[in-house]
Amino acid sequence: MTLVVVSIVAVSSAQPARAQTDVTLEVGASQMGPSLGDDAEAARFGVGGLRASHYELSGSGVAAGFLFGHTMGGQTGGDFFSASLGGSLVDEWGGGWAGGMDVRLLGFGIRAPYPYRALAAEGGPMLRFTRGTFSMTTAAVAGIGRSRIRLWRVPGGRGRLFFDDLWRVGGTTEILFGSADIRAGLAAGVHETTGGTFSSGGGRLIFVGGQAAIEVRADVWRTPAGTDLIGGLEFVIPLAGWSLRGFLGRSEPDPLTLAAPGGGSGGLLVGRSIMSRGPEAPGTASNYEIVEATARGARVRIRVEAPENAKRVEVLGDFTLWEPVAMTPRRGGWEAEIEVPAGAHHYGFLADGEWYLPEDEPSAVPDEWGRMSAILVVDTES
Amino acid sequence: MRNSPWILLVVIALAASGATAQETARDRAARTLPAPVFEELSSLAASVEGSGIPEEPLFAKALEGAAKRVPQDRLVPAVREYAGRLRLSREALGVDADVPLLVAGADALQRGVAASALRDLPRDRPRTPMALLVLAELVESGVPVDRALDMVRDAMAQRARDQRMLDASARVRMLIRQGVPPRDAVERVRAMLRDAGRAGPALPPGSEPVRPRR
Repeated sequence: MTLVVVSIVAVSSAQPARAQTDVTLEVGASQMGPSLGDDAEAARFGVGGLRASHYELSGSGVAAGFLFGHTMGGQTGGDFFSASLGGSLVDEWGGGWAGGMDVRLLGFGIRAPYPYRALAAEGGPMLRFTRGTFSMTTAAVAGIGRSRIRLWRVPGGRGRLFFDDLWRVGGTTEILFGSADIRAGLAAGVHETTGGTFSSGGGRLIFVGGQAAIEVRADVWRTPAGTDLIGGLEFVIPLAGWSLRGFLGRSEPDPLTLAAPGGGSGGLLVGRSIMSRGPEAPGTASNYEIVEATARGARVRIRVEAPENAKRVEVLGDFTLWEPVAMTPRRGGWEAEIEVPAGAHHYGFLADGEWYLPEDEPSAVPDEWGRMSAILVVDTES
Repeated sequence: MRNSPWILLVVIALAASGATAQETARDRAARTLPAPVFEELSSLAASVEGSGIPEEPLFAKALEGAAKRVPQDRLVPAVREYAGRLRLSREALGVDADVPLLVAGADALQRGVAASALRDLPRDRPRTPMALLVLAELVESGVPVDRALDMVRDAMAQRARDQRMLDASARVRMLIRQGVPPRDAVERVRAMLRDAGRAGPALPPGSEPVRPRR
């Protein structure tokens, strides 16, 4: 039995903004409780998959992922496979307004308790207003899909296939406000679907510290099957090429695939970044690179393309008390390695004894005499 | 005992090399600058010491000028001007500001940041030289000072590392170069800073297996 998942989203950007690309391999475990009112045993899975994303500064981008799950016990789930491909096209209009389009293709299949597959696509326009730490996002969504399930009249007998058309039309609004590290918000949505009306409303609390984040959410969902309080805690903690992602709570229903609310679920995945390419920061792609951290700061390799015919090039800065340090001709330029204390420093070069700074030096400050000095930064946590 | 003079020489050499490694800006200024310039600098340093201005940046500034082959008669006036900015920086940042922060404050003032903006930096989070450098870069790029301060506050609130702060500033300047108005550019990057850590979808697709409603 196959699980099918696909998602597709075309993305482009009005601005040629630089992008962040990540590919992460994840393995972990998850557990899903039975639907509310169901006495079945919780299903446990060992899971593993791959996530990839490519997002530009504007918010436009694509994300794709697939995940295999192997059942580890319980009666309500079997081996599964899912995949999705989605993305966003965002255009900044100025004054804090932005608009765009989100699209998602997804597929899913599971072996037990009944062989089930679903393939669906959804998407719609989005409008966002941001002012300081306040943001409001409204999105409309329409989706279509098809599901297939095989049922047996008697165990081991010949199964009969049932096909269902899936569709939904709806919209959501989310408002967030607060400070940079703590934000609170409200969200609401309503959807007309194959199976009836789904509506939801609730709150979020988001804590952000560096690249790590914790999000707590609670929503009341009204579905054709009844009213449920759904919510939980999500977190993501990146750490030097690794990441830890998890969820604990009750899983949301899905108006498109008509997935029922979960009675309680949790999952923990350890991720290993196998590719991470960030936008080149123009202010830092300059004449130096950190070789290794040291007790006081870092050992830094400084490199410069000196003027043609320069016979002697030296580097100097406040970290050398402005005493010139000879550089060595290497790979068509001049290089030197120096230990530099943590912090921001001014520096530059002497080419045959004359002050020299490349014209394309991306980050420079003026001095008291009308010249410029380059800036070298050794992160306090290098 | 015949080796004693050699041992003594080695000890002296080691001591000398240790002294070189710990040489201060004042030491090097005394060693390399003309005596009248050094004396004038020493007087200047003594006269501003009471205002909480450390002497090291003053001597370092003179060394910078000398390294850049600035005429001798222009060294002390420039250092005097620099001392004035250090004083303003001290007044704005407070008595607890360390030397690197003080120097970064003086740089920011030279690049057009108002002293009041330095005062408005939050004090409940560590103030780093990088925060002031980024503030100065943003203001120099045309970002209104209140918006620049908002971005630096966000970064400080998230305890952003130095490199991340510098990246954010570089991205704002990149957007400005692409024609985005400075005010919008900084808002975009602030939004990026805010959303960088958001958890997003709880788990990869499939970790919550969809079950048929039958």
